[in-house]
Amino acid sequence: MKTKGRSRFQLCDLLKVLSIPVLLAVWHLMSLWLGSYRLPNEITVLKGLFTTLFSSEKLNMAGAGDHGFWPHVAATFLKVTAGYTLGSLLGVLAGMLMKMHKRLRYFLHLPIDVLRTVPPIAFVPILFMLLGRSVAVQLAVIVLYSFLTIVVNTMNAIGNVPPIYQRYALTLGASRTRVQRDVILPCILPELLGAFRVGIIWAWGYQVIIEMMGSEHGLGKVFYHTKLMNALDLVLIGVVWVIILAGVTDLLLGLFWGRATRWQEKVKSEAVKR
Amino acid sequence: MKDKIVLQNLSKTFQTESGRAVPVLEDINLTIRDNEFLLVIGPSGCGKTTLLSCIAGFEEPTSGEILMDGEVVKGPSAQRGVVFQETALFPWRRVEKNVEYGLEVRGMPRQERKKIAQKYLEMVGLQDFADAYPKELSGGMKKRLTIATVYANNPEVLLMDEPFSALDYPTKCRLQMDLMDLWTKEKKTTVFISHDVEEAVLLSDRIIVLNRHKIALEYQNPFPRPRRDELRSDPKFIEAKEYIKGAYWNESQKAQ
Repeated sequence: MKTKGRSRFQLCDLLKVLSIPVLLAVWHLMSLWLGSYRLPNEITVLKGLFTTLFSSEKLNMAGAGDHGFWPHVAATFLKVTAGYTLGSLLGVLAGMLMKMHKRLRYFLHLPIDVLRTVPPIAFVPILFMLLGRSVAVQLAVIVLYSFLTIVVNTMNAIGNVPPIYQRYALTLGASRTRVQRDVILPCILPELLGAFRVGIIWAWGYQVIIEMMGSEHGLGKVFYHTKLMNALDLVLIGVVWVIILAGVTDLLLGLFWGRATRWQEKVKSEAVKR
Repeated sequence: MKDKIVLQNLSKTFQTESGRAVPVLEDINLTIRDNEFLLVIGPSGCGKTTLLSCIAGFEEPTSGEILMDGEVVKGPSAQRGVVFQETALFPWRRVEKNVEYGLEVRGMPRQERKKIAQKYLEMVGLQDFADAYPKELSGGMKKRLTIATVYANNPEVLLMDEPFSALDYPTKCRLQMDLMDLWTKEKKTTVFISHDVEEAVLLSDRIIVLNRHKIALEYQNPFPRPRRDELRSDPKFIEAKEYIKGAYWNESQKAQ
C-alpha cells in the first residue's frame, strides 16, 4: 500500500493519534469552565494515577484499604480475565459437544436461549442473597455470561465451516474426533477470537457493577466508597484504570487475533484505490 | 490384473424434502481393474459425481453394492483418496504441513513426514512454496497442492471429481500433463470424472459415458502411453474425440 509523496504519509500517521491530544484539550477546557472542584483536569487525574497507586490517604478514609489502587486494579483484572476465559473455554467445549450430539443440543437449547437474553446483572442480587458475596460467586456471573455468549457463537461458527474441509480430512484418514481437532477448531478460531474480544468489553462493565454491589476488592468497590465520599478525583482515577485495563487487554487480543488469522485471505479496505 | 473396484447393481435414488424420489443412478455394473485409469464422462446431472461419492464412501447406495478388494465400501477411507472439484485444502496450515497431513494422522515421525512431503512437493513443482500459506497460491497451484497431499498419503485408489474444470485452458493442459507424469511414476487405480472430452481421451485407459442414470457407452482407449501434448492435434485423436462427443451429445439430446 503505497501513498503518494511524503506529506500524505505524515498526515496519515498524525491522524491516527490526533484524537488523544484533542480529547485531552477538551477535558482541560471543560475543567477550566466548570472549575476544578466540579471537574478535576486531566493533569490532576493522570498525576493522581501514579501517586495513588500504592497508597492513598483518601482511599483509606473511604474504606478501600491502605494499599492504594493497586490491589483493586489487580483484583478486577484477575477476576475478569480468569472468569471470562474460563467461561469461554467451557462455552467452546459445550458448543462443540452440542453440535456433535443432537439430543444434548435439543435439551440445552431452550435454557441457553432464555438465559442468554437476561442481562447478567440481573442475576447478581439473587446470587448474592443465596450464596453470599464471595469471589467465587462474582466469578460465576462472569463465567455464566461468557459461557452463554461463546456457546452460541461456537455453534454458529461450526455451522459455517465448509463441509468440504471435513470430507477432505476424512479421505486423508482422519477419524471423526480428529476432524474436530484438526479442522473444526482451527477453522472457527478466528470467529471465536473475534467474539471473545467483543464480549470481554462488556465483562469489564459487568464486573465493576458486581463489585459495586458488594465485594471486598476491586475497582467497583472503590467506586462505591468514593462515590459515597464524593471524591470525584478518585472516581476519575478509577475510571481511567478501567479504560487502561480494557484498552490494554483489547490491544493484546488484537495482536493475538492478527497472528492467529494470518492464514486468512483478507480484503484490505484500501484495495480499490485509483 | 485383478479387479480393484466392483460396482454391482448399484442404484442411487435421492429423496427430496417434499418426498419425491429422484433417481440418479440405475443398476450400474462396472469393474475397475487395478491401476486402471478410468474416466467417467457425461452431461450435467447424469450422476457422475454421485457415482464418485458412492465409491468414495460419502453416499450409501440405495441398492446394490460397491466392493473394493472384495470388501464392501462403508465410508470414507484413507485408501480412497479424493481430489474434489472445489478447492480442498487446509488454509490454516502451511503448504508443507498440508502435504504432511495424512501422514501426521497415521502417526509418522516428523523427519520421515518432512522427507515425503518434500518429495511430492517437488513432483508437483511447489517446493519453493513449502513455507507459504495456501492463500498465496493461485488456483492451479492449489490444485497441485491437493494432488500432492492426496498422493503423499499413498491411497490405493485415486478419485478425482472434475479437478481441473475450474481452471483456464493453458493451466488445465499443464496440470493434465503433470498428472500423467505423476501417475506414470506411481500408478494407482484412478476414477476421474470430467465433462471435457479432450481431457477424457488424453488421460484415460477406458472411458465410460454415463447418461440418463446408466452407462451409455464404454470405450477402450487405443492410444499408447506415454501421451504427449501434441497428441491433442493428432487427426486420429480428434476422430476419437468426435466419436465420444457423438455418443455423449446424442445421448444428452435424447435426454432433452
